[in-house]
Amino acid sequence: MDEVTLERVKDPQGATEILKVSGGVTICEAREFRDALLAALGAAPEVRVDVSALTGIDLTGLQLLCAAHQSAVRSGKSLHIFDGGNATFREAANGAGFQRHTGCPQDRACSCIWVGGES
Amino acid sequence: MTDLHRQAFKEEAYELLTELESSLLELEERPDDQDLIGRVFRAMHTIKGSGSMFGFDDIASFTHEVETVFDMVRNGKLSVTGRLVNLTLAARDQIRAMLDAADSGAETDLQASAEIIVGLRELAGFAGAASAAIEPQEVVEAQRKDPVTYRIRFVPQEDIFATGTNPLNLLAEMKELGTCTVVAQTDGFPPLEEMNPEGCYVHWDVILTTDQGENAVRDIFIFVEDDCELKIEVVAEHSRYDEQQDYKKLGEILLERGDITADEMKAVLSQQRRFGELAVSEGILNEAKVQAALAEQKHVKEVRQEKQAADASSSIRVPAERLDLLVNLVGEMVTVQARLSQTAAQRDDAELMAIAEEVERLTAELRDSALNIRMLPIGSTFSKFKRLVRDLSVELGKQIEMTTEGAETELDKTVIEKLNDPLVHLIRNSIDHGIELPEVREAAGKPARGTVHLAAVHSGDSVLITIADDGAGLDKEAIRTKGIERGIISAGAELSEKELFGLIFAPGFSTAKTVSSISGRGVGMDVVKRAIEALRGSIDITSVRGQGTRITVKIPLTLAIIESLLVKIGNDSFMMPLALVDECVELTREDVARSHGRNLAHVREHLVPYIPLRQHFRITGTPPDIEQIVITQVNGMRVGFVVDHVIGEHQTVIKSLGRAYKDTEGISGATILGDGTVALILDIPQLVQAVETEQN
Repeated sequence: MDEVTLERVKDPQGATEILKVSGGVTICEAREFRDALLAALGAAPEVRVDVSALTGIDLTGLQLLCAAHQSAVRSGKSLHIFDGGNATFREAANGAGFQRHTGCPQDRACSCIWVGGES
Repeated sequence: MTDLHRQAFKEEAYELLTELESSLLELEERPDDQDLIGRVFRAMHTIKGSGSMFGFDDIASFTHEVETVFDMVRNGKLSVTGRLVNLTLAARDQIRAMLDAADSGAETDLQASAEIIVGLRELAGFAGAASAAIEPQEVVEAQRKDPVTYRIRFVPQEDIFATGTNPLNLLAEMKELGTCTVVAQTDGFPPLEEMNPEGCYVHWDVILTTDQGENAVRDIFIFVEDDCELKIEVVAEHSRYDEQQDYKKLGEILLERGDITADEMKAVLSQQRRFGELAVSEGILNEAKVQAALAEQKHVKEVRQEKQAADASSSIRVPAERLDLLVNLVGEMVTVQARLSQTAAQRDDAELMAIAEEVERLTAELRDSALNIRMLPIGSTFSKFKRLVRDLSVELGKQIEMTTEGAETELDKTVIEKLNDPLVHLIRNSIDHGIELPEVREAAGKPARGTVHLAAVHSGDSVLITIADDGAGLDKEAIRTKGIERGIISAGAELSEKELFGLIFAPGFSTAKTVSSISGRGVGMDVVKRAIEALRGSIDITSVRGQGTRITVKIPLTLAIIESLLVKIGNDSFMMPLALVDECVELTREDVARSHGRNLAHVREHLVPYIPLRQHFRITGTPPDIEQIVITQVNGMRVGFVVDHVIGEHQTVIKSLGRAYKDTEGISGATILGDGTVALILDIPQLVQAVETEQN
């Protein structure tokens, strides 16, 4: 699996924090990934996780994305995922049973990251 | 087990065997095609499974041996070789023989079975021992045919990753077992900051429909059993679909899963709102649980719809006799309808005529659909020939490829059955006399591998079947010499190419210098011609020396009804198949006088010989002043038939004449006309032949 890089970019307008994840996320990078997500959520009310350059993600990664979203919802922030049509990412999410027709129980605002898929 | 089931199994097995044969032949050409290997394996698997279920134990155990070998092929442990295909084809024939024997009670050749098994085991070689060990379980599993839907709740422990297990792999394995819906449950997640990134917090609800049995599912979790909570329950057994009318209600599913108690459900149900929304708003359930239950409902629905779609597209087996009876009844109906129309017209009763027209329309539709039921694609016959070509070319040391075209062309079932033997003969001829040995072909600048092309195409109310080879072609001189030798033609006879080629259909004619086991006994082509003519078809040859021969057989679509021309001689009515009729011209007394007693008519500067049917059938009475000549096309020759009157075209339902008249010459059947009288159907080719022999 390719080396993972976590890159934080501030959106030009300044309201959105973008976390660009490229390479493959595995259990080895899980801690690092969690910290990056936490930091991003701490920095702005709106976080966008860009996974379009992801080349692989395991269960820990998917789980963290989901947990990050739940945390964001609980603290009144928003988090979305931009996958840019990344087939690897979509397959991984589907394979693990993360696809949804409606959001999860915490999701009152229909913002579940697994619904549909932004591209 | 009743005979009915055994019969159904046998029919299914015959079909599978046919499919198996064509798959094997294709496999020989494309040995790496996994799809084909899978098809062969599945065919064997089904025969074995249902064979043992219906008490064909010998077939089941024999097939098992073959299946084992193909399982190895499927798993890449064995590659497809010519020997494997040969043995499997032999095994296929053996299974067929066993099926045949099961009916007649005859003994099957156990020696042959044993030899095939020994051959296969040898081929499997070292790996044979390994596969033997897993046999018993496989047999048990094979008998589980009906798919079952399981509900699997898989809750891994938090530290499951530490043991090196990836739950995703387990999910992927489950997906291989069958149709699988996976829903991840994420509601137990701690806040992100408290989360152990290396822990597992997700659990899954999986709905799996598989025919592999519960043990296959449990096997997937065999190494993680201690590290997870696993619950497997049966949701639906799909064989019982027909009895189960409704899908499970959402509440039932949740209740079964233990996500909700019966009391809670009752409380919720007492309010009339959608159950899922209600339960959530009541705080009894969280959304995720409902989601999973909904997914289950959807999954079962989908599997069932798939099965229903498959059922709907499948066919019904009906004994052929019942269809024949139906077609016969429709035939009677057509006749009665014609009488009704005629009567209505005679009475000049508008009301009756309206009814008659309606009946006519319905009868026509009924007739078409009844005949359509008996239509079968000719493809199954074609695939049989593939085997024939393969076996013969091996035997003769020739390299021959058979190509087919128009396998989907439909023909009446009875026609297809009767076509089989003549076609076999023609193909054998092409292979034996037509295609040369590889060396000879190469010397002639042709590819070493010869081609026999078999094509079927619709043409009007007939089907044209072409057998074309790229072999040596017919030797005109050899045919002429032989024709003179056999006294079929005179030494100085000038014959057109067509007439010359026509000679090979003469009885006792064969140009092969030596008699081989395949053809050359000279009892072939005349029999072929008779068989084709009995189907009211015709046969035509074109051939170019050195380039190949093309034989075209023209066959009517159905034997039950023909388009014909109704003619009258005196008070008798006759039918002439319209397909053979070219045109009708008048014959006056003067014309007869001009030809000085020879039966020849001038038609547009050409002389056309004719047969005066009145004399031929010895019908008394005087013919009208102007008679009619119906000119027909027989064997590429124009021959006229003199009749009193030509009435017109007619849809004729053919009735056989019955046993007493089966040797009647010149008549191929009879039909009943609208007014109830009988009209005889003329056998034109035979009439021509009879007159020719008379004159010689």
